[in-house]
Amino acid sequence: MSVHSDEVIVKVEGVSKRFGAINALTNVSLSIRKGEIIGLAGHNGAGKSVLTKIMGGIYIPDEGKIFYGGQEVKLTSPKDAQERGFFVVPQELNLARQLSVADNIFIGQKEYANRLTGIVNKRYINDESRKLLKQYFNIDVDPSTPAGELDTVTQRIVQVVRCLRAGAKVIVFDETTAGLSQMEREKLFDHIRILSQKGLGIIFITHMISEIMDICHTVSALRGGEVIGTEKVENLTPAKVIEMIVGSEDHVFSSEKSSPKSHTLLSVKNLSTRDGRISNVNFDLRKGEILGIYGLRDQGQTLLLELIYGAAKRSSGDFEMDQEKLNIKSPIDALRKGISYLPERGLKSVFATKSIRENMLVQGLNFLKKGTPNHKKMDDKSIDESIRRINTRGYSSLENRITNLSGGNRQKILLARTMLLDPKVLMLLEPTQGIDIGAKNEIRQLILQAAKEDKAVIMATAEIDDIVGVCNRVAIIKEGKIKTIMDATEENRDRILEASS
Amino acid sequence: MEALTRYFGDSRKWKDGMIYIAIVAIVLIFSLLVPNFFSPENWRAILTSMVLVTVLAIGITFVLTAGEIDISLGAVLSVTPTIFAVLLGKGMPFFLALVIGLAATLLLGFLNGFVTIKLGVPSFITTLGTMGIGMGLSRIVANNTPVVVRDDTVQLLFGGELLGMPKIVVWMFVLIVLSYILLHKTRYGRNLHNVGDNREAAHLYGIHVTGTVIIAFVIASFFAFFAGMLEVARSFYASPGIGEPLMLNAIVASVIGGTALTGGKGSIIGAFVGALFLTIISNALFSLGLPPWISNIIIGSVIILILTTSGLMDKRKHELGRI
Amino acid sequence: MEMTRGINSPGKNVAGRKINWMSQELILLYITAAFFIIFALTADGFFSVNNIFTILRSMSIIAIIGLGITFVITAGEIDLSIGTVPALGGCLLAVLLVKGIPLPLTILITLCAVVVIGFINGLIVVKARIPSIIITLATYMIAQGIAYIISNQAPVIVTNAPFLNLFGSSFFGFPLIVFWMLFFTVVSYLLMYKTKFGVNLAYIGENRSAAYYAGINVNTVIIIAFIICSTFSLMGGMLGVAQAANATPWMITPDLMTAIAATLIGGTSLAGGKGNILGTITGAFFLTMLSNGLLILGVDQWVLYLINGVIIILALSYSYSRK
Repeated sequence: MSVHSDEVIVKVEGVSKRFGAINALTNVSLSIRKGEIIGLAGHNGAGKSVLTKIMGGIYIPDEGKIFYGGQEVKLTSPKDAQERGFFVVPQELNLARQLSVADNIFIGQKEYANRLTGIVNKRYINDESRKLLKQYFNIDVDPSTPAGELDTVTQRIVQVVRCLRAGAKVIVFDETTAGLSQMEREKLFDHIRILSQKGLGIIFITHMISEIMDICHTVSALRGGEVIGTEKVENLTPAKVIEMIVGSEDHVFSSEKSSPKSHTLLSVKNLSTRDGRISNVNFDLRKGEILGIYGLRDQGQTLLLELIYGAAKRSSGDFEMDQEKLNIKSPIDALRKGISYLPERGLKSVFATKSIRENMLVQGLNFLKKGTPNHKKMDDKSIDESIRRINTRGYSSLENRITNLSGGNRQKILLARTMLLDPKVLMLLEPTQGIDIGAKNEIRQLILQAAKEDKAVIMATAEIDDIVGVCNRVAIIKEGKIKTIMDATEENRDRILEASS
Repeated sequence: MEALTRYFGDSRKWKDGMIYIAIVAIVLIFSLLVPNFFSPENWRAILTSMVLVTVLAIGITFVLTAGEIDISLGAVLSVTPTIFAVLLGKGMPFFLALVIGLAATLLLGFLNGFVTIKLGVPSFITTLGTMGIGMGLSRIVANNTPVVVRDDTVQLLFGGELLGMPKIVVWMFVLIVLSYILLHKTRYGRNLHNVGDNREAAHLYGIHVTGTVIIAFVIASFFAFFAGMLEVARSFYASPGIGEPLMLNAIVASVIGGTALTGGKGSIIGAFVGALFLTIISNALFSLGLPPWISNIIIGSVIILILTTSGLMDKRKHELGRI
Repeated sequence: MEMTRGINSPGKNVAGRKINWMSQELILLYITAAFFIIFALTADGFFSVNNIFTILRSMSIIAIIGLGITFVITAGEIDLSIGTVPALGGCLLAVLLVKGIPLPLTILITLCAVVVIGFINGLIVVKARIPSIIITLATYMIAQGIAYIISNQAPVIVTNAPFLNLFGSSFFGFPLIVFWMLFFTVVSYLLMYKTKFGVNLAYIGENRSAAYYAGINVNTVIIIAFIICSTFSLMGGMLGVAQAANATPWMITPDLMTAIAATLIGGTSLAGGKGNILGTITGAFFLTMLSNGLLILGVDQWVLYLINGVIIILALSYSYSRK
């Protein structure tokens, strides 16, 4: 790893940012030097994205100062930061889908159109785009293709090319390696190294330790919105990095796992989709068992769960519950058979402008029959009791909007709502994503509790701690296939990590 | 359907090209049914009667591209003509009267944009309001009756003939060319597409979203103004309410021509072809002696047919599970 | 259903929970009351039994149609066919009655016809993913065309006594159509707040994706909402026929925008998820009373367009700035 210069390009000092009741960042300071590749490590929700968004002019800090080239600046928009050379390649692909690749690279910039007439320099931007994509990434893309038609990897590359072309001095790569194959990742890293040699500062946000060790000069660990430490990577080992991120032993989750019964509750056979994004998946699920699905991002985890839930179309495959064949064509069928699904945090699970009560009751209203014991549990007093029992905090009445609660508390409510139906099989997608460590552990405990009550749980997650701490077995998923299923023990941690990459 | 899609190749091109197929189809059908369908007199009539709808459709295409909607254009069409006519009648010089009238219309366009983007009111509601304002204003100014306009300058600019065609038809084509360049070839037009496609990305790309959208509404109101003045030249009257029945047709023309209601995809040529399509149908029905409301049924059915087929072909849209 | 208490409830809640005195529909009520008092003091003849009944009679049809579209808007869609379905229903009804078909069968047939229209609207919207604004615009056109064909472009006079007595006459001086409006208000209130359907409708309008994953039958609920809307439109048409003792293919069409405006200023959000039944009624009353009072005060009819337009913009700018 080459040594970088000492000249600081961008610096933040004492930056703090609050969102409502949540302290996203507290007194954070960070410097990026010319040619330095600095890794920002930390759990989801630690504040990595928020920090770079403040540096990039997307958020305005409540306290603290930002310095560009030694001078204090006040950024009011992304354009301010971009004009100073600070670019963010965001986690969520955000291209104009119907516009061409060339448009996405050049629009909003001086060179996009003739200064006098305003006519777009179509030939120029097409030729240049083609050249740049070839030059930087050695790929051939027709620059007039609408961006939405490209695969996710190429879309990301287009975003990067836009930054480079616009004269970036600092580029933030926010979880950019998601979905990339080993070879593509290596290529990306080669380009990042070249950029670093050219004097660009790179901020590399990732939660994968291996990537930090591979490409970063320095690593800054964030936890709970605070910088725990900044160290040269050459002075660190992977274990030390993990320690920086995770912190003290108190936070490590250790609880007795459930003991699965021998009775097979759910059987999945020969599950495939027509386009092959899932092919030939087989597994059994026992009563009281927690099965983890682990893999890199976009390997088919979401699709797998949605197929079982009836929210996606399968081309082949059988489901059997208690030896009875299931015909699931929609979530309604699944719920009637006792299969519940909690999607990842966000738009698929939460009714943002509605109250806690309304979010709690949406499934119960439709699926609990009058006269059953659970149906009686839908009055205010029972709901309140049940969510307090799982330590939900931050609300004064069930009328409060659910968005007033923190992520962790919200997730507890969604979990409680799923449990209200007393499902036989519980499927969860990234149940602890983006939540602070305290709430994470509480949710893990709740999931274990469900298994101990003889429910069967399938949990797809990218958090290795979820797998090792909670699951009995783990299925490694890669490119839509289950590579292997092994015991989810602490001893197997490295094997699990290896098998998935 | 999917086999057909695979067979015919790029489904996207076919989806967009539906209106062109449709228009070729009806031209063929009517050429057989209607005597003298291809005569120059008939085509002159078609082109003349389609001018207003086309110009309005062009205006609304800009707003649709931004991902918004504007239902006030039909009403706003009469604002400048009535103000202009009344002021002219009171002895005000041509240019001043026109500028005042134009300013009123552009102000309504600005109001549309401002209330929609700055105050956050959905554009359907905002333009519902300005539609009422336009309807009322034009009638109040003209005292609810057509105002005669026999002005030489107006006739020189917009009336009579040029190159063997009514000047209003020539203007229509000029406007088509200009708006095509503006929407598809200029920086502003591409910015507008970007805003309509992905507002957040446009913001991150450094595009001034608020300004872009407001300008789109002002441009639309400008086309309403122009349509109004062309009608004054044609009929020698500024009539309140003359444009109001055309609003829905203008929207239909733009949408079946390929402009996406969700934004990010506009087509000026499509708006023209869509308007042509609608006009040919009513022209042919009239020639065949059929009552005009039959055209409503045909047009309504065609809309459903075209959009449903292209909607079912669009695989992108099926995100919500297997529905 | 005790547990639906609070879900999608209006600000003013009958079940004894806290009343939100500053909710949209109550603010509208206060403003309505204020204007009522002003008119009573300044407009000669406004505050008379006769005039109040006139207002109530006028607002009834708009209110019922507005109630129908409240359901569709709550689902996050829109239905423009409410502009012509009343005329279609009314003309079909009238023609059947004139042919001597007994009233119950006539009502059944017209009901089936509009249910089919609502079903088509809903089906295309959920299956082909076409924006509801353009699909219902198409069915608007088709329904209009059919209405003209059925009625042969002329008023159809209805003399059927049971029909006129049931819908058009008075009960001890109290106009029956007002009673029908109140009846449908109660029905709507129950449907919207006290049934699984209404509750699910609000979830769907708020977040269609989350509703789907939570196990709500999204497609069915949306289609039912469109069917309810068409049925209410039919009711509006029937009352219109009863009131005038004839049916015309152009009846009620001008009131399309008033019905939508009434719903929106009443607090139902265009984005969906919050249906406001009481607000729609209040909005219908407010707009009708306003026109009535201003006309008595000597304001020209077309000025009302302007005033209504300004009200829409002001009311909704306020409503959206609260968010």
